[in-house]
Amino acid sequence: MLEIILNGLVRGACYALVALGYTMVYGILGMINFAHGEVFMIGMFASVFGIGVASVLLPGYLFIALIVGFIVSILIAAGFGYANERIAYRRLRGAHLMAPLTSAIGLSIVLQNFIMLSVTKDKIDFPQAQSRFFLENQWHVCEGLTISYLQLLILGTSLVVMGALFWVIHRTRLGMAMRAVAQDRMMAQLVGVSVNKTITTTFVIGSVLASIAGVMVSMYQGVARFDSGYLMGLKAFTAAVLGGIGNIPGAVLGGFILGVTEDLTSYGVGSDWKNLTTFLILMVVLLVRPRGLLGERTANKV
Amino acid sequence: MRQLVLDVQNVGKRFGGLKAIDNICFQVGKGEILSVIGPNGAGKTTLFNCLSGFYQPDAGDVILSGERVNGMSPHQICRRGMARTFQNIRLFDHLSLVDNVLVGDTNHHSTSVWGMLIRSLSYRTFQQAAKERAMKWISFVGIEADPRSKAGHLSYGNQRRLEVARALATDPQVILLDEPGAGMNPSEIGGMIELIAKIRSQGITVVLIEHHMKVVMDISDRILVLDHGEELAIGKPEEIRNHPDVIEAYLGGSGEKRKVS
Amino acid sequence: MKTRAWGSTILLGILLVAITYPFIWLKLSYEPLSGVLRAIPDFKRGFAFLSGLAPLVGSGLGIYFLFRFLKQNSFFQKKTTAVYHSYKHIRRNSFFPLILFLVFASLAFFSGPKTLNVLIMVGIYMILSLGLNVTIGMTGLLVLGYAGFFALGGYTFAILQQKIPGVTWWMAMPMACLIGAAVGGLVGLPCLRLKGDYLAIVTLGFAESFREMVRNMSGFTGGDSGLVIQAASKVQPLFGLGVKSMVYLWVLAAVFLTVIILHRLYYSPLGRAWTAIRENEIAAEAMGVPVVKMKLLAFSLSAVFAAIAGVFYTAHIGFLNPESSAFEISVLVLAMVILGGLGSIPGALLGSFLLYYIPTILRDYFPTIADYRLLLFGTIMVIMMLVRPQGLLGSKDRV
Repeated sequence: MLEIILNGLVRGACYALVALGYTMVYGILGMINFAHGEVFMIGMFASVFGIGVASVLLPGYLFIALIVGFIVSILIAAGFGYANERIAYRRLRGAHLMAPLTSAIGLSIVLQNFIMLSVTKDKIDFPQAQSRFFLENQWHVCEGLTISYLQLLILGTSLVVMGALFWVIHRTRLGMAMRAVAQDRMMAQLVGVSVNKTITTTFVIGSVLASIAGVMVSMYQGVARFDSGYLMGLKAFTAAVLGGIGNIPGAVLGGFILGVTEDLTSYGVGSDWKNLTTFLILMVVLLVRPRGLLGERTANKV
Repeated sequence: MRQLVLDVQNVGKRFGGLKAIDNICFQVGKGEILSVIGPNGAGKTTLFNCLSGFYQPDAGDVILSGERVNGMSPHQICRRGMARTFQNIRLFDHLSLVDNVLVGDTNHHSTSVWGMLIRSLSYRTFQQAAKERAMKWISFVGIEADPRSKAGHLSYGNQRRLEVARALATDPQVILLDEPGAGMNPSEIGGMIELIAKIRSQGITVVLIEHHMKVVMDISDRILVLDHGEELAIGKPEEIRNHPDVIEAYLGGSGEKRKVS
Repeated sequence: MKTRAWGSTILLGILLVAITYPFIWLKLSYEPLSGVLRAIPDFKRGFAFLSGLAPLVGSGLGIYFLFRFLKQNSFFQKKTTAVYHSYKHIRRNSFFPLILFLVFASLAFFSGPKTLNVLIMVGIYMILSLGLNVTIGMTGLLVLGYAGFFALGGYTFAILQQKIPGVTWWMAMPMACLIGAAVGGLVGLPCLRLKGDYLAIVTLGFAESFREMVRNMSGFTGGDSGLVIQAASKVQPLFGLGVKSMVYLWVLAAVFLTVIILHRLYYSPLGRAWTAIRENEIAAEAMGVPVVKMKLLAFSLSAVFAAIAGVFYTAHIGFLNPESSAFEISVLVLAMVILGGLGSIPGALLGSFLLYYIPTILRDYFPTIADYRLLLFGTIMVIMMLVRPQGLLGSKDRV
């Protein structure tokens, strides 16, 4: 039982990282970033690519290759986050809500299919030389609970990254700018915040978080596929809504709750029903408490 | 006293710890013009939002012709006879002028979907009549542009007028005008004053928020002064002009020159 | 496009190449145990990819230059305006739809089975994109999982004919409509009460969950292998016409009916309320439009059209599996509506014709084109939104 909950927490940590990207963009723009799941998938592929190239150039240095994989993944995902905002969102900011959403969906379809056509339709393996160390070493905490190093790595990394994000948002100038833009774009602009830059940065930070999740998920599952981002995006969105979209601690909480629920469902009902549970949770939350667990009731601007 | 149309009893609304408006009471009779004035942030628009159903008041009642309307959604309140315009113009930009006005009109008459599909005679005559009514309202507010052109292409002053026409088309007893003269030049404001008087002559009660003292003093029967969400004074224009609290709190100091012009 | 947007597009391209380069030209393969990585040059793969891309880029550029040429050619412009005006004149005639119907119906008599297949599928997609147009075009609600309702209709029919022998496609039709409307309302209700774009994700989740549910309940729905329609339940030959011709005629009739219904609704107070919601929800609410009710109505109506298309599709193909609820179909229909023009009825018809017909012709010459379809649709969606958001035929005029 403990083991199931642990697995759920690990899964939830990844959901939370991706959900943070949704919730940040929603908080600042009031829109869903539809291409976010694809950035997660790009992160997966970029890390495999980075590790591949690094281990061809520097054979034998496994950890260096892994770190290179992380860095390449983060850089490429950041680039995609930037391009995504520039192409799909910025020019359509004044338009009807439908326009940026449609262009973002179009972009996500383009990304997904480009990877499918140019890389492969099948799954690609994460290099096991790099992940083996983390998978095979385990830590026996107590009777009935063992944590693999990889699980520790995932939980640890995500907690550190989330902590860093909180610090950025609440303690730095950039974070202040982000909160200001989220509150009132016009006013922020008047007091000298560069709105465009802040929004772009938000996209980039969200994408970086998603790519970190991407690397860790592909390590954990051992494979990456061109359509991995699709389901991940749906689930992370559910996590964000569950916690209260636009609310950053909410996204983390939602991610963990969703992860644990999924693993409990797989254990209790059968793993076939896991994705359906996610959808049911989404519907129930929207019906009963649309502002989510931690979301505040906001007055709509009339 | 005229026949009572709108009765606002102790209405209050708070956002978190902040009292946006508190304990507002006033009554408006049929065909009366009531202006709501007050410094920025006094809660004027919040009051309008509470009246028209966009916010649910935390306390008090809004009674429209004897019927309690707080707790209803905006469209229900609109159908019961209280229409409004917006401070920042909210037109249907890509619809024609006629269509804009018809959105306000046709929702008051139930037409069966079946009638729409087979284009029954009663449906067509109804449509024709609705269109004529819409044309009438457009000329009533004094827009001379082609009624088939798009609302988004109108000039600023005409957009404000079109909003009024759209609200009038809902056949209201009370019309709430949120800064109808904002951003207008003096001659346009003169036209707006005439329009408000014309609306009153139709027997429609007008409640308006306005910053231009000329408008307020010229046409109001009574004036309600808000300050920090509270009711400071209510009374005839000359009473308000000489009310010591109003002069101190609202006009006070350098503000006097700016506001009383 | 502004230069900065070009810059980001180029950046996107570079990033895409950066991430795929090793996969295109080199095959990375790992020895799982030793961790040794081998890189095998794989030019064939890169070549195959680029050569698959070429006809798409080529035809896109061709169409673009043709369009530009025609736009600048004054002689042609005069001609098209003249044709358009005479068309407008003809359209006033109340017999015009009937004549048009007869012209198209005559195709049933002398078309081969291959043409009929294409025409039937175009017709089914026309119903779908007309239906989707009600939500995304007229009411301004983004629906991403439209294929879910399409599959729902199809499965209603497939399961009914499985459980109750003797149920034919037209008997299943009212049932499919009812279920489509009910499920549409159920899915729409939670998100239509909220502001923002929840509906997009919720419908996406619905389509995905529907597919999963169909897979899991294999005793009822046949699971992954799907359900086969019995011959007796399919469309029956009539008046000496073959099955294919009859399917075509029925679909054609359904398309005409859909167009007439939607046209009349769009130019009625109902359609005006929908457009008002699209233009400014708050103002619509203030003017007495019951926004939630109207949105639900639009959404359920579009679910009904999807269900109708689903029944036709199932009756035509004679087989249904969970893939009918795939994201691909939703995207295809969405791209059709956007290409044709949001809110425009002729636009939806043109969009579904172009996006179904062009890939079908190209498939004869470039067999790999089917794989590139989605890439094309995604690109169309982005470019249309940036360059011509109103679509090819779209104009947001009314009256």
